[in-house]
Amino acid sequence: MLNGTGLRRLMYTLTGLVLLVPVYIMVSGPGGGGEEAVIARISLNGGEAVLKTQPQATPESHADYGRAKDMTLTWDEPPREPPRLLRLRQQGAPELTDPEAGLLHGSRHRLHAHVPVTGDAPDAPMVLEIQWWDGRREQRTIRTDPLWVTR
Amino acid sequence: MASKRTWFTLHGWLAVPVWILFTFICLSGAIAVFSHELTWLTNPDARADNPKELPRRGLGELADGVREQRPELELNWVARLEPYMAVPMNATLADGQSATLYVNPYSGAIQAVNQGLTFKGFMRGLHGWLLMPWEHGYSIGYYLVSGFSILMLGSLVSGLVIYRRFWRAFTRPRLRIGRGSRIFLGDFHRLVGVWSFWFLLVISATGSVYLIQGIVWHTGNEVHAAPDPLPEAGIPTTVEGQPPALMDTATLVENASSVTGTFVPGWIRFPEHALDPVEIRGRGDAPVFDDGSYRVALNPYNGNVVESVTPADMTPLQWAARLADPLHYGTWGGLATKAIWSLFGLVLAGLSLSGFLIWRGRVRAPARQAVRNRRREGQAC
Repeated sequence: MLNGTGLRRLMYTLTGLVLLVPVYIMVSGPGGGGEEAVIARISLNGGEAVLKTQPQATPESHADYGRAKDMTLTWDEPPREPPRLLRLRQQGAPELTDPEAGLLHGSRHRLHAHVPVTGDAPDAPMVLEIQWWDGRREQRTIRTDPLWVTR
Repeated sequence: MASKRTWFTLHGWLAVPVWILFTFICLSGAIAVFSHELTWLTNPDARADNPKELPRRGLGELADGVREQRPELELNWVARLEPYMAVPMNATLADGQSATLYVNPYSGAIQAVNQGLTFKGFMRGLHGWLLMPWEHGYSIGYYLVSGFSILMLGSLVSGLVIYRRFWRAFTRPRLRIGRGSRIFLGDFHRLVGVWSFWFLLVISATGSVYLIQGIVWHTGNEVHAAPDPLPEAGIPTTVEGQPPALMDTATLVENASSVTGTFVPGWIRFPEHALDPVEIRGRGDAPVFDDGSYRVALNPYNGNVVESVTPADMTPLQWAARLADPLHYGTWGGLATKAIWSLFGLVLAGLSLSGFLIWRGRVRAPARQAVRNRRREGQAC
């Protein structure tokens, strides 16, 4: 059984721990994937874009896509005619009927996507599906740096 | 049946190790309640001044006006705050940076372009998740803070069990001043604990809703599903290869309002891709519910309503989530309820502090007595 002094010390220790945990996490971050890195440069209809992801973050499990990874596409120079839709998928990942699978969305300058990936082939190229406002469609294969680092 | 002593021990264990953090959360909450008003006081650009006594413009009209004034801006969302506040609009600037515009709801003038965290954003982040980072749909800070709802409920129940005939604190309140700090702190703790039990219940109930909501987000789900994307076949194509003109926002708001009768739009989100509908949220005739309780999704190319949700269509969790903010921050009744909520936030901080001081007094007294006894024994030898 704890006496008064022991109990007091225990409570002060617990109080200290409760305060230290948030401070530690605030300083160190939640331990996620870290900084985004450029994995490809894309030229499209006069525009120049960079594709980024967090190489330290392994693909997440996704209920619908199997495996997926967050990616960002930023236009350094916007294209002459903006595309109507851009979709990304890693070659080998399942082709999904979900219209939002790998769909790039956001502002005119910076777009995000939750991209279906293979889960076991970080070097496999990406497939970029492009739809233009005049109805044209095209598909490009894009070579990238490894999408994630295998440990 | 657990003895009073067990309940008393439980009461202490639930509160004492976390009292500093709990006090901090209560104080930050008491300030967060008035974050709009403090912004109004400190930032003249955030005020909705109307010296010419112009009629108030609708959210859609204001958004269309900003697009005309600054065509290089890309509006992301628009919100309605209290009548004395300017309308905040989130936009992407020409250089790709995000900014909040403060727009006068009467003149339609852009009063300021603010980049960085707003005071409200800072206070809500500090109070809600201790400004800890969010990644993969969760923040440890959010779990820490919302987890307090369970501790608070436990403290409330155990406190009422160990306080014999607690209801007498309503009929015969007792606060003895001048009879020593131990008696004063005990009276204060019991008195404010009983008088604020309704507030503790409200805050722990809404906190539990936030906790469940956090778990839902963490598991990759949404409390409210985003509107379905528009079918690709329905998106117009253009000969010149440029995006087609979208419907003006005022017309979209009008179409949304005609669907739900008493609809008052409070938030508009603009499309993030070609298949994305415009989403307009607001409030209707259901009292207390927040500005997200009525949701209408519209096709931005033709103005047709594609989805609408009212509280009657919601699941219990969605319903609770739409009640949580007004009840947690006391915004449901305007300035009067905000003042009451802020005051009781301070009271809870006092409750936590007094509880700690009582506990310290209790464990210190025997320890000091033991030291005195040892000294006496030493002198006797």
